[in-house]
Amino acid sequence: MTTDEESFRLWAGDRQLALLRTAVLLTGDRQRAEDLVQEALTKVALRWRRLRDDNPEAYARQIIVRDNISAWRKRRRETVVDHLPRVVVPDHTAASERRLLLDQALAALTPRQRAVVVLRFYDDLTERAAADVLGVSVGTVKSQTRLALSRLREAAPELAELLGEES
Amino acid sequence: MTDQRLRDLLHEHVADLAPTDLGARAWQGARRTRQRRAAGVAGAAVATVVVVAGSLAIAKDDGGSPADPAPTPTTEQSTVGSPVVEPGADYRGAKTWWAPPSAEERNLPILGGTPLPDEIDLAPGAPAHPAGMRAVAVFELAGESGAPGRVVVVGADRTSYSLDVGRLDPVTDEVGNVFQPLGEESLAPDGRHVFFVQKSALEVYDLITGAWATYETVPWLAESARWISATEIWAPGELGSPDGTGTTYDVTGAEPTSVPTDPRVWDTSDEPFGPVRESAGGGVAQAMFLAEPATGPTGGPVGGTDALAARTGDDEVHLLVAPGFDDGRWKGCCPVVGWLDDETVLLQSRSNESRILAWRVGTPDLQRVSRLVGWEPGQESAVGSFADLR
Repeated sequence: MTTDEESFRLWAGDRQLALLRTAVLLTGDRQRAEDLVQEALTKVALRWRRLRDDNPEAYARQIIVRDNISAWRKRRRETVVDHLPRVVVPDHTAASERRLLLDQALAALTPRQRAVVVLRFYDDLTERAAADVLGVSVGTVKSQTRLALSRLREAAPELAELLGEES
Repeated sequence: MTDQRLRDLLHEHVADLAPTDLGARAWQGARRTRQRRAAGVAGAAVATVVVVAGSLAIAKDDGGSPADPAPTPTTEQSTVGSPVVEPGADYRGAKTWWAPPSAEERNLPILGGTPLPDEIDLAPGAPAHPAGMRAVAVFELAGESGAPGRVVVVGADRTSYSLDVGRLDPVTDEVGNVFQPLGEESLAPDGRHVFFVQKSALEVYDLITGAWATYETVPWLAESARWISATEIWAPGELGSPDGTGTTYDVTGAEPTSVPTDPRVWDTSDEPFGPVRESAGGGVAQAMFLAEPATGPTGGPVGGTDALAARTGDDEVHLLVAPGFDDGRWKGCCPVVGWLDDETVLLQSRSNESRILAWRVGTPDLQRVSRLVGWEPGQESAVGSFADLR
């Protein structure tokens, strides 16, 4: 029989990379993403006996998303992000250039809009599940998604072209 | 397919992220937290037996670990002894909910994660607005001189910027009453354009390009202009409620296509004021002066009150009554800001400590969103206009 610590470490080892990926997409910053995941995992560890048979990953993701929005609000004065210049990308966009383009487009979103995009299109959550993570209504998720996609296209027209491609 | 392509881009973006072992450190951090809490409980034992008993009950439930609070909400702080919103007697068939005195608003719980900052800084000296930054709100702060006041743009990044409005002239109505060029309807719903009223023109600033444009109007009628779409401003043919006549200006240069509507929360003899805002789900909200005394939670009738009237898509009207002009609320205190979602409406609570509040319509759930700081009540008057914040 495994101890609490062992079972927690097994779970964390299995899921921490997925959570880190979500956090990187939310923040655009590896270090901040690691800090968010670390904090979330610590909170999961504190409640491990109650969460282990439930859905610890959903709980961790909720903490990451909400802490990120909260932290952004506190430090916004120090990190004013001006409207980003449009980036011209060659037609045959390399992966690294696509990443840069996506980074800059995501930076034009509010933290909540960015979270909606990541939860809906990266984590593949339903609108209901995304609303639960954010603590908002489904209607807000719908409207924020619409606004976010519109702003992504405006911030990077080349991204809109990519999004408009038929796969 | 568009959504699938976005998914692919997001997955590609983090596909080669190197793993880091954070689990071990997390467990160690949790252990230290448990130890600190255990020490705290032990220290408090001498003072308060009841507290220790409660903590032990929680510890037992969590296998020896004191429970962590619920998932962190997007708030800055918790509040103790939060003021309450209480139901009163129905008014003209509408449910009434009575807001706490304005002095107690500071203790309302905070609603975070909205597009508005928790403090809207209106102080002079903000950096100049950079073209390319949309606004979530725009404020004008005017003094006694009658000249246009300074303008503060609250950007989509929640930061305050100043906007040079030196091109504006002082403006009055037909009989010489001074008013401010910025009105509550000035900011476009998408936060891109803001208009300023002049005697015979609308001066429109594009926050993306940083360019001004002038639209000539019939003298005195620009005062009642409002946005009827993200790009179309409508000015009436005569002052008062829209009668269908008027002129529509499309700031993109396109042929106007929208027609003004006149949504109402309900039809009574009460006097509505300020913007009307509709939600995506068919809700409508507007502030109004109550013509008749309303009966509050303590049972006595209260006359001359403001209220926010709202319905959320059905026909049931709810009133958030804002009593207490004698304790600091201004007359016309509580115009609508807009809807945050289909159930939550934002409103201004105007006093010397003006705030933006969020009310979950038809419930006692009232929260504070933002506080206006950096201005001089009594020496300056602040008018705010807001984008669609959904």
